[in-house]
Amino acid sequence: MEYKMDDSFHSVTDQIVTFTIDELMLALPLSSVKRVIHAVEITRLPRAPEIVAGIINVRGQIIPVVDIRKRIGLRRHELSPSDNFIIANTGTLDVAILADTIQDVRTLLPGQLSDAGGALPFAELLSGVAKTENGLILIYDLNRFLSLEEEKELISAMRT
Amino acid sequence: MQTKEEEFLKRIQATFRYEAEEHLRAFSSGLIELEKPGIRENPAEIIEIMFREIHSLKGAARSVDNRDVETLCQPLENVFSAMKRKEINFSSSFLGHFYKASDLLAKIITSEEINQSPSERKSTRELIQQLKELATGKSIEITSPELVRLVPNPEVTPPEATIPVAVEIPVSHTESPATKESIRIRVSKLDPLLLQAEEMVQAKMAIIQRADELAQINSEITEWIHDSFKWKGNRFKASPEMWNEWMEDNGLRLNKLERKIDAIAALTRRDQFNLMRMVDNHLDAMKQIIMLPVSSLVEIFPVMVRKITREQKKEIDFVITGTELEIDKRILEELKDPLIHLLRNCIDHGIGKPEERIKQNKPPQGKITLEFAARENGQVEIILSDDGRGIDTVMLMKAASKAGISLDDSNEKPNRREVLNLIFKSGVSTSSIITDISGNGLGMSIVHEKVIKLNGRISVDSEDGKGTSFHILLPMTLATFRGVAVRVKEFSFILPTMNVERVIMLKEEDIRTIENHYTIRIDNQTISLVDMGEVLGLPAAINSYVESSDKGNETHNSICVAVLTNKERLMGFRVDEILEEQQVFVKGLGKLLKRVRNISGATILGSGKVVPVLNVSDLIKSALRVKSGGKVHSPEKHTAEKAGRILVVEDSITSRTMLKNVLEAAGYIVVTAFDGLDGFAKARESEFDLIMSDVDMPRANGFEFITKIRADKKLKEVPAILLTALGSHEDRERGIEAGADAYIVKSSFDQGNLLDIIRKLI
Amino acid sequence: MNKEASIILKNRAIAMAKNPDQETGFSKSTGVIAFTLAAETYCVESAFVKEVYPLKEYTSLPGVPDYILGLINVRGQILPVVNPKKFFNLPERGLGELNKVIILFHNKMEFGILADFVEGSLFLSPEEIMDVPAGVTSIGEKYLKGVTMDNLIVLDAEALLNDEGIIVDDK
Repeated sequence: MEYKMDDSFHSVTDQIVTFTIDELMLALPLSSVKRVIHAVEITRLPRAPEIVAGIINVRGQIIPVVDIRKRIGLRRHELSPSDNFIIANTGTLDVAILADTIQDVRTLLPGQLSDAGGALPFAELLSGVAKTENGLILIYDLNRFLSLEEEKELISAMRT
Repeated sequence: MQTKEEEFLKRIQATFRYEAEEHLRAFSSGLIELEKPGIRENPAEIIEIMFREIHSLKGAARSVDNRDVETLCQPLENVFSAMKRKEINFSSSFLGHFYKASDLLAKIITSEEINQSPSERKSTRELIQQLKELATGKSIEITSPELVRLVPNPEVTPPEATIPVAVEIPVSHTESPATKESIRIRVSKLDPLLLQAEEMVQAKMAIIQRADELAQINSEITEWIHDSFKWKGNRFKASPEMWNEWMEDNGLRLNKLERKIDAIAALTRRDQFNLMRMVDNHLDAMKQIIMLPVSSLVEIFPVMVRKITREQKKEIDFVITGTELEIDKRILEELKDPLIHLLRNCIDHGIGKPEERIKQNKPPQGKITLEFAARENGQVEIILSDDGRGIDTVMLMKAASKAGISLDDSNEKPNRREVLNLIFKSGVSTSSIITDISGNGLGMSIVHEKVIKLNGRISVDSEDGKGTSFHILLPMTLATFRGVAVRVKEFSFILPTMNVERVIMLKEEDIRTIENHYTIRIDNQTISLVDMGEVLGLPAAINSYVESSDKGNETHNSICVAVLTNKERLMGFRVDEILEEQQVFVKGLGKLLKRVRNISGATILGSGKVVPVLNVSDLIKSALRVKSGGKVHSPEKHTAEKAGRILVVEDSITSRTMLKNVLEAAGYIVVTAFDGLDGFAKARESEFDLIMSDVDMPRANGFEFITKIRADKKLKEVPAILLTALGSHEDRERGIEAGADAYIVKSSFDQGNLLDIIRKLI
Repeated sequence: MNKEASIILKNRAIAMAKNPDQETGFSKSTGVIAFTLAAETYCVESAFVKEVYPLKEYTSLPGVPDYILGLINVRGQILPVVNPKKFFNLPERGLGELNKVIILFHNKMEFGILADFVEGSLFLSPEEIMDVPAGVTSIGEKYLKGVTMDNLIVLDAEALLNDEGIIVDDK
């Protein structure tokens, strides 16, 4: 019974999907992740915001691929077959986030989560930082990924 | 729009069919009355009733625009109205036409086809003509019953109509789709159901309310946790005042939550009581709904008896009693065919022709009675008896041996009952003439099978020349019945109470051996005693009763025996414990387990545990097979015969003793050790088929112990099981990594499963 | 970008873009439930899975074939559970809290199959499933649809559910 109570304490954001880009361990809330697929060829999209690498077709649905390397100060790579796309919902649209490897799904204990604070240069993109035995995991807030402008740009680019 | 209309028409047709059948049934009953000698002289009252029925039927037909029924009813009504007005006098010669009309009407009403076949049209036309002549006073002579039937003219008959109509059961209209799918419910039974349904809405609202309240509490707690995170982040900056404020706030919050939860707990408990009461009432009411009076089954019988007796030129007085008794609709449905079969047998073979009966100093008119009576334990007894020829046991024996059936146990003098029971065996018929309706020797065995399937028993009694009676004992409801729970080794089973003659405790001295079989005496009768575990093919412990009769029984040296019966014979089954008698809901085992020997279903106990319900007639058959040295169908038997040696390593003396007892009871040889080191030493000392170990132990723990065993040349192949109170994923992984073949969490598995796993590993 | 990699990515993109409505049967991307049996990973089409139920306790039945593990109580319904390891000659491992019963259904047939561990659900597309390698034979071969590159063995739930041969019908 106690265990059950404890379980319900966790709100949905306490479960995260962890993945890596280069050596950096990152995470998205599980609630926003729809599924994970192997990388596929990306079709470039003219006039798209810089963060958008292009679009892919997932069973008839056109989904923009978001490469966050640039945004967090890493260099862009060539796409490799071993890469993965995390298909997630930003709240307004589905995006595919480019990741090197997918680690796991984990549940954060109450003490593990802390505010991003001002320590990191791209803290505005984060909803929190989790401390784990393997070091810090940055948890991204998808709602803050694309600025409103970028989102508008993207939608109009996809229309054409 | 059109579909809606069609639907409406369909519904209206179904209603009409229902109503029409009622009128026809009443009309048929009237026909039977009309035939009774006493009434024939003064039929006015019955004629009045029948006139009204036909008149109503005509009206109903007109309202749904059923011209065929209407045109047939009209002349029929005219005949009755003429009789009413005494313009013509009733004559028994009319009966043929009336029967024919009633047959035809039944056919038209139940037929899905809108149009009649040409041959039907022709005979309808003929009949209408004949009825018109009757009404005008012209009489038509009818000489033989065959003429009454619908024998179409061969030249104009399409192929499908050449099937001899005489074979048809005159009651076929009761099998129409409309009656199969619909059920009539008395308003008095329906009202409580509707009320209950309304009550359940309350329960639904209450549950929604509770869920909302809980969600609210949940969000309060989440908020609290959120606040405490913030607080934790700032705690070093906090002043003592802030600290106090925070503590106070915490206290307030806690109090508030506690109060809320208390209130919800109390409300939920109340809801629970309400819901329990509702569900129980509802179940009761539902059970009531599926109970129908016997009359709904038997009202068709008199017509049928009438018809067959007419054809066979016999005279029979047929009496039914107890028709007001209510029985589960599903049982009634299943009973229909067997009863029809038995009835036909009575008429066909039992009751002789009037001249034959007079020769035997019996009244020319035979008598058949069908009685329904409630018995204890929610059972109904059905007795069908006739005063006919009786069953010829000599013929029966001959017929049986011709069919290759002999009485088991070649007794020198078979008792009468055993011989009579041969009648239920397949292929046995004493009738020298095979008629369409009985005498092919299959029917009785089917009757027997049906009754057994309904968890009932059937027996027959007969006296040569005096008559025969069949007794059927059945549960009145299908869904629930009473059962006796028993334990056999670590397994629990339910025995249907109706098959349990009695339950007795015996001493070893009471068991005698006759020709190497165990027997016991009850009421001056010697019956066989068999071991339930052995009959079921459970892993046998020890064969002798003497050695295995100790464990777990307070009454020292006493043996529990359930005396079971399939009505044909009694047999004692030794079980380890008789638990209790209770009401049980028997459920099927699903399509995958269509029929499992010795098991008729299963039930769920209050604890949620599934317990098989045993099929006693199978059990007795299986027991006879075991006794006669035949093979018992059991894949587990081979493994059970050779007892395995098991090493149990466990530091807790309670657990150790318990395991030892359980394993020994299952026939294994058990050596115990108190920790990993002791266990390893003992394992090296001798041979084991299996090692079981606890995880948490002083000195070498379970993981270390298993690792050590796996590293040992001699022991590395021995299957090992880790037993533990811990159930975490890591522990299991660790156990498997160490080399354990199974990892069992003590709390989650009962002995049965433990033994199962051991059996799989050894 | 190397050529080989770009071909792989391109092919995947083509496969991914396929609309599931355009094809039939297993050839479209199909949801499956993956589970382990001993050291092997199996999967079964989700369309035939009614639910996954934890194995709390079960009641064994005397005198039934060994692939019938016993009966379980699923919220008041009594369901038989089949042990698929018996079809594939897999070693028994004993039972614990991770064991799950995957309840399969089709037409009127319904029973559970015992899994050591249920891994989760995923999607498979036709090109991923290859024939069972020749030489792999067991009683259960007729219940196999194929195997993927990752050694995921695809069970043919329909064949299993429709096999009259597994029905216990003691006459």
